[in-house]
Amino acid sequence: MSNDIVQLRNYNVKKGESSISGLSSGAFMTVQLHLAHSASFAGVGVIAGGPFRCSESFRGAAPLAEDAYVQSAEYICMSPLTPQTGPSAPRLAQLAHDTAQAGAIDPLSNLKGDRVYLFTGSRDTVVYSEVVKCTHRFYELLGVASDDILFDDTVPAGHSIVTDNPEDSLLDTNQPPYINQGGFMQSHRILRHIYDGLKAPAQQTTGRLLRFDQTEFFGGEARASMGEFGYAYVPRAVEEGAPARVHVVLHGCKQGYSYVNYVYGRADVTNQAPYGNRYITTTGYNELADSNDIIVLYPQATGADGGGLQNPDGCWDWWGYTSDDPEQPDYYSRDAIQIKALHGMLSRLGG
Amino acid sequence: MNEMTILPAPAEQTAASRATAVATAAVTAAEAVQKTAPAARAAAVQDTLKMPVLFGGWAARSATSSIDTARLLAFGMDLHTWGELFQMQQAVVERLTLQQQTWMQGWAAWNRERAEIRGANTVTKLVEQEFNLVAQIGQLLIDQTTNLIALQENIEVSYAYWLNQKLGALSSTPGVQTPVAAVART
Repeated sequence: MSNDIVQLRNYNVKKGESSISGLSSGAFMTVQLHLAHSASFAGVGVIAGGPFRCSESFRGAAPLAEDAYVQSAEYICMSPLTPQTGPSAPRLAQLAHDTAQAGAIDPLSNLKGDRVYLFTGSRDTVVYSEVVKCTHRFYELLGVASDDILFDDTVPAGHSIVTDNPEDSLLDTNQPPYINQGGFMQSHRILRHIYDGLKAPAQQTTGRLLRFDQTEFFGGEARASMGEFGYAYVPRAVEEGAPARVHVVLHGCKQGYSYVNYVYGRADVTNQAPYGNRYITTTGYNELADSNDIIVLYPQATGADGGGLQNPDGCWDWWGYTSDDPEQPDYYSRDAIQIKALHGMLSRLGG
Repeated sequence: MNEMTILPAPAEQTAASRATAVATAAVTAAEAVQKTAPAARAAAVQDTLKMPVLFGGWAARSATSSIDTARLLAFGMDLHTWGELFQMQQAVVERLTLQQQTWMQGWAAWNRERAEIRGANTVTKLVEQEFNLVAQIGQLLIDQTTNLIALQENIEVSYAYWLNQKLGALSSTPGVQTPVAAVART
């Protein structure tokens, strides 16, 4: 990758054929972005993610709305004790219908025909399998055909995206960088499920990994909790004008390029972990994208703790931390600051 | 889900409404704090008030859960409900066991490290090694404590949520999500 900071530009992208995938907070955001702009997408890959507006499951968790939503997120939407204390798919599906009816997200009829890949590692102790099972049911209730959904809970993986890289963590690990080796490239399974007839991944990529200025998409506002730079892999054929599709990849918590671990409450800047770069370069997306004219967009969230923003791990917002009004948080609609930014990037590319 | 249509008995209703009033007062005070200091704009004020608000919230949740438990015991218990409660207890035991395993593994690793003979050519390095071992004990204690508190908080929220679903309209806590109309855009 060169040292240049470029502006995202337009390519010959087929409209309505884009897709998204993400891990953990990126997976929750994947579902949100999918529903908010369902007209733009043909499919999604959700690794360890829950259903739309899950964090609003239980307002009674705490007196303050922002506390109630964080607690619902952590205990109902990530680590429920039993299926009965997990998210309710019928309730959240109804909420999605109501949200669409209110005009805050695209019509849910767009979801018909979309391809949905859902994965939960059976050893995941960060986002438990019950939650992803609920996401499965949620999509079914919204009208996605069972044949279009691939649900995999058979791999004894911890909380991670699975790769076949020898240097990645052991499969059942539940620790950062949340990239575990399991003998297959999960990114390839996702893309192959979404798009039929993909060619084999390139042995040697020919395209360019671009570093672009993200700030123009969220107006540089601190509450967006997004990094200064985003990344995009553009195959050479696409640069030369070939028709393309866009796949948006959303990293999980602690996986952005600018992630800094907080040790005893302080940012440990002298030991910055290079997790973000690994997610962009080693998870296998670029190789399959290269041979199939897919642009891979890697937007980046960033961490902040204090000053009213509680997001030390650089997670994508799925519980309302970016919202000005904690009582009625908007982190899920087309107007939510991160969703607006992500869709702005996609539109710039032509998707 | 599992909404009930039966009404509470008058005596219990009175006790319940008193406790609910206490809880509601706590909620109202907390909401007032929130409204006067929105999270993104007045974090300093919120941080100062966070401790009483969080503990107040904990007390309010405990109070409402007690009321809801009494209501469920009086009107809603059946074999299926007992079964769900048992399942919850089992899950708590499993999580506790896992936490204890992690705790013991942490100590085993610490012990191994302590037993290893390491090279140190300077007093500085020797002292640093000793302090590292002390710091690791601190980290083990911090991890264990925060994990236990997280589990405790999980149990309380999960139980309150479960009661809320069981009792439906009879529950003392607001369970339903934010009204969607609030986000409707023109």
